Amino acid sequence: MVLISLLPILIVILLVAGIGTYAFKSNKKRHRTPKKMKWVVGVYFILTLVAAVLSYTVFPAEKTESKVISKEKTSQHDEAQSKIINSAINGKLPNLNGVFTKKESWNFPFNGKDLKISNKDEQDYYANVFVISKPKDDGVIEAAHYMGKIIIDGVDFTERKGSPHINVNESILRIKAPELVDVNFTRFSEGFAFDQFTGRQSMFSRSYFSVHGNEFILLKVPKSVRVNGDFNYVNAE
Amino acid sequence: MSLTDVTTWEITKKQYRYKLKSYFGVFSSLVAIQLLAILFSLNGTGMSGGSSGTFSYDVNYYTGDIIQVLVMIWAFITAIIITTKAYRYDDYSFVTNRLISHYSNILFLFSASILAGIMVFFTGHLFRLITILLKNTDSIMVSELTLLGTLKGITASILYIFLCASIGYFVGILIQLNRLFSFLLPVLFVGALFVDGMNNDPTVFPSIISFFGSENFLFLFILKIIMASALFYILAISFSNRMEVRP
Repeated sequence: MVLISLLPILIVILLVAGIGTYAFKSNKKRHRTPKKMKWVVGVYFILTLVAAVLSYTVFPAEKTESKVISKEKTSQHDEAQSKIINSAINGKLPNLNGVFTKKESWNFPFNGKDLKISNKDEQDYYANVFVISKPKDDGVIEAAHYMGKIIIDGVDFTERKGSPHINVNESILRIKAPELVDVNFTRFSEGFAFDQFTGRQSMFSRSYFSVHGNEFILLKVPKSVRVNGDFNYVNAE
Repeated sequence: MSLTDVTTWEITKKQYRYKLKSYFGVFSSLVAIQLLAILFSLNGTGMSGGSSGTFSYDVNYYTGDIIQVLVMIWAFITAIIITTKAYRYDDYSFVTNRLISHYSNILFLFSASILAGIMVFFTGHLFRLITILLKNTDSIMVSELTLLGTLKGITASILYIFLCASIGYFVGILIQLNRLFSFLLPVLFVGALFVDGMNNDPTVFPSIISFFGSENFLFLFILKIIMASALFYILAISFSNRMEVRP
């Protein structure tokens, strides 16, 4: 097993040794540098210089240095989100303190006495629904979608994810899943020698971290409305 | 008796200049190896992915690690090659002794390491450009380095290459001392890797790599590399005194 894992390394070493020895020795025999060889090295060096200029100017890929969220911060976001969700499931919705942000809100006029929340599972969408009973009967159902941060390997993708579609029809509140979001991105790093002294992850601690972003829908219903379905009543702190 | 007095340093400089011209082949092999490294790196060095409800992601990681490692191997091989008999005997076209020959070799390897380290940085950009043009992704994220970060990175890259060159130089001298080493050393190296990784928990090699790779202070890192390289060169020079004198 160990030998098999060493095999690619050995092949690469042999390959490099072969190229190195051949290029070096074939030149050495002549005792002076052939013009062609000088050209090859010169052209390659200019090519890499041009590539460096282009990669800084013409193709400035999205730079992340200012936006990268550290592993510690990511884990703090994850913990804070879980803490709030768990507290809300137990009936208390604490202060959101910027951990969750309101992405979208709706107001639905409602004069009925019973409200059914449609089964979310049918749509493969698992946002928690928390319900607050308003102190008065104002004939309006207020709905809001709250979203926690989505961080993939230090990059914030919260903006990419949309809100669900919510509507109330004949005393049924339907929640439809938002559009699917598929993010495909590429990250570059100059290599371990360059990461070692820049406070980035060293070659021994490279790990990929993410927080997928919790979300919930908060409904504020008139005092006399009875709610049925999959939800939790909460009291806002 | 000579009419002109020449100092050790003057001969070393002459030999060094001669070697820069005569050993130009190392730079063409460096180009070939860097192109090979770009080819190997194009497939990416890692990936991660996941999904949660209506959100899914794929992240591809591209690093210059392969370029750096292959150039380090190149430096190792190059250092071995310049210790071979044919190259050693070239030095005697000058008025010289073994020590001068070693000095000029070390100077040459240091110069080659500087050029290789700078080229690792620029080749990294060529690799990035090729990947941007070839890849079809939503976005490419680049953790851009500051000027100071770039300079520190290039310094580290040069020192890693120089360290490998010093190891190669020592190995080369050992092989010149006794041909048996050309068989023994690879066997010992692979054997040690095998034994160290037998219980799936290698400790010796990761500790050696960690000694340099986990150092976050540039000054200490420079010190460690200089000390280690000096040790290999001193050993190489002292072992070379046991070699036969040129007929």
